[in-house]
Amino acid sequence: MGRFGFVAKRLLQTVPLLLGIVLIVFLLLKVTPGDPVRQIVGLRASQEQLDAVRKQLGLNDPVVAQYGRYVARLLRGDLGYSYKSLQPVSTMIGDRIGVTAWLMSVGIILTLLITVPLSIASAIRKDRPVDHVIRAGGLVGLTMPAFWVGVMLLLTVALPTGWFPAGGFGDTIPQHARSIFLPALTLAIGTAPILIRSLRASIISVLGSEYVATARSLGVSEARLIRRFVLRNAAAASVTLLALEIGFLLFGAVVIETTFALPGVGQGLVLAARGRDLPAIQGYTLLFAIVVVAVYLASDIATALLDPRVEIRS
Amino acid sequence: MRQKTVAIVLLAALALVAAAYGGGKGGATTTGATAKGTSGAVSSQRRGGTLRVVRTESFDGWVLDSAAAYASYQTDAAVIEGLLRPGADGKSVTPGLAESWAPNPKAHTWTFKLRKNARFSDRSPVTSKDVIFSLGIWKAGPNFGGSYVNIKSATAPDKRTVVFKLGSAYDNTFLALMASSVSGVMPANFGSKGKVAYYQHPIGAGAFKVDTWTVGGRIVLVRNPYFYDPKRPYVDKVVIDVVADDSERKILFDSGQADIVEYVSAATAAQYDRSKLDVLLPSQIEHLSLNVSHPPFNDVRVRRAVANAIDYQSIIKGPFSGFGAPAKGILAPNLAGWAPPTQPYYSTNLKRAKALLAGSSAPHGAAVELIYDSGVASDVLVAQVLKDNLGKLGFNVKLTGLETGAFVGRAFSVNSDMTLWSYGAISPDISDPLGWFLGTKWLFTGLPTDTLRKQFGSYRTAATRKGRIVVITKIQNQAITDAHAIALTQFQVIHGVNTHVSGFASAPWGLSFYDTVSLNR
Repeated sequence: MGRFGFVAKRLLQTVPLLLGIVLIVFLLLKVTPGDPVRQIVGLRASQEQLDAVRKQLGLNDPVVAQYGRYVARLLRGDLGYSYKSLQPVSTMIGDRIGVTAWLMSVGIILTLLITVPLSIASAIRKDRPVDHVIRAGGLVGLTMPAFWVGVMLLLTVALPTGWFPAGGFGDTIPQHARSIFLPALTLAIGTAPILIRSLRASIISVLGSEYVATARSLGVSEARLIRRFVLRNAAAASVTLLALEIGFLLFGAVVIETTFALPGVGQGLVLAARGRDLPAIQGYTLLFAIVVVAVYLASDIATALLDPRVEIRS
Repeated sequence: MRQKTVAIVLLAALALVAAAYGGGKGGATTTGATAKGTSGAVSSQRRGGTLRVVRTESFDGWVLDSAAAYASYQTDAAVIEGLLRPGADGKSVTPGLAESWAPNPKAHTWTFKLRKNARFSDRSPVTSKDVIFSLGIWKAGPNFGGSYVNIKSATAPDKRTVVFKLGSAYDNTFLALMASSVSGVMPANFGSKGKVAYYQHPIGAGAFKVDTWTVGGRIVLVRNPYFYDPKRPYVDKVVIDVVADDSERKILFDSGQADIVEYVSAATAAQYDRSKLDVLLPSQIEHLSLNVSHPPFNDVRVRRAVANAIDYQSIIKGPFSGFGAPAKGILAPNLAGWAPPTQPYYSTNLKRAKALLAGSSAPHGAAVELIYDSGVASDVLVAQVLKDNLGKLGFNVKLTGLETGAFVGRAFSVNSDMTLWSYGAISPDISDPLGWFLGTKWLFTGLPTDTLRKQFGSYRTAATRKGRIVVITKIQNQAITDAHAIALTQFQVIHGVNTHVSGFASAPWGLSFYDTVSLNR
């Protein structure tokens, strides 16, 4: 069984994984304080009215029965309806996912644009001032909380220059691009430092290997050496790390979207949690789980492609 | 407004004073409120533009009965207009879809005349049939249905006339009820859309119609071309965003990306340019509710001791940054029907507090729990002030800050020793707070509400203004005597209004109508 078999097997393994995540979230919501029915019906409703709605929604049924119903619906592709808006949860997610996709995509691009050149510069000038500055800067970026970085960018860049809006997502594509830059930069500032450290270490290790010395002795230029030999071999570990980071990025999007008032799934999850909108919470969480699992799978495949020493066995 | 202040919409309508009772064409007029923003008569207000509003509260949706947040009342009223509107002075009613209204001599029936040109946003005319259909929806609501119990029937002698028959005459709450945003008029049979489809994309006869909206997210309203006043709304579009972070809201306001910031918290108001703040008359009450169902607060002496130990001035100056004043009673001020107590309200007197406690069932204090909404910045600070104040009496106060949903659950369960929260009215009458007290087990204290219920009924049916004052005064005095719910301060709703905005006029509790606003830029 080759690569196709590997991918098929991994895909099959994700099903029980996702069901397990759904179960954990389901149970956590059951024990979370706060009555979702009161949030649905209203603060002034009587106990009788609350009980009637609770019965109607099946919330009095045994947890196992409720979970079974939910999974049966999931398998039909039905994420249920929002308690608050009565809209299908899938529609709600669909309305918001584009914003988060923009944020993640631009965030990853900016992360790579920051990581690769700084890692290379830091590695080839190891222990020199440039290296120290880059590593110190990375430490600062890593320790600053995302919401603070976001607010600082707004105060120091958006407000004085007017180049970028202070919040929201805009209505047209050019407006989307302008709106997403600072939030994506905030994501990148928090993510790049770890990748810089990892890639720097990998590059230094590869630079010290024999085939690189051989290539140098054969007259290969430094630029070509880095591009063709070093980066590809050093990248494998960082690709895995980037995949792990994407999972954290997704949850970082929750903070970023709240800070910049971006109407993405992160903001949607926060609002759903506040309103105890159980179907929406479950829907968003399932989305997050699917994305993270998919990214890990893609990372494994990418690593195997990049590094021929990694074999895919059945 | 407080993020988590829950409006008390027990819109028991109250015929507002003589002006409201007079009915007639136009009824009471908007008085006492000045439009915020640049000066200029209404006729010179510029048309066009997009009004950008940011707020901290999420919108509950278009089911009028479920509205619990000011954000919801505000938005609902812009789309689903009612027969009447609350006046910006907070005490009167003004014409909405109805151009006139009048009672019969004993105020047993009220006849409303609909405007000739009142139309829904789908161009269909607003008729009496729509009002009668809507009344059925209002009465069936689990939250506010009880408010309409005195409306026994409604008939339609013709397409533009609705006659409401009341169960008892002189219902002082009726007109305020009709002016509440819960009493929005919907098309009969939901315009043949079906209930679920209607609430996802409602049709109303308000100044705006819904373009797009998401729960807790952006709401975009566009001009209703069939609105009954052809001069309004002035703006073409209203874009409302929920921005939870105080700093981000201010940044949007300062950058000009937000024209109005609704309900600026007192904690952050000092950061704004004062000339851009619309600081309204006090209409909100921050209260400390003591659970009377178990020790130590089942002893009135202990409760009175607590009331005398609180440093009210510190609460006003600190958590409320001076945007508050000593409370005069447990009832929210600046509402029609409000009357002060005849005895002075509590003030800080530690000596008296200790003396009261010494003679009580808990002479050395007790270990008690105080719950509050940790999402409300001022409540977090007030809780700490109270812990310190009560510590001087020997109380060991455990502060339990809860996330909003969890806090609401515990508050309504009345299972904590003390609950810290706030409330404000949503309709122009004192019956609104009274209804909230009834629905919350006397403001989360567990005090039996039988007496209050009777008093509410008396207020509702009092034939004279003097009679109403007597009832309210009694309620205020009793609350001081019982000391179960202590008003810590009466504070103001604050809106941030940029200088290019004209015509913004808000009721004291914060409700305004976007169709009076224009943008001068």
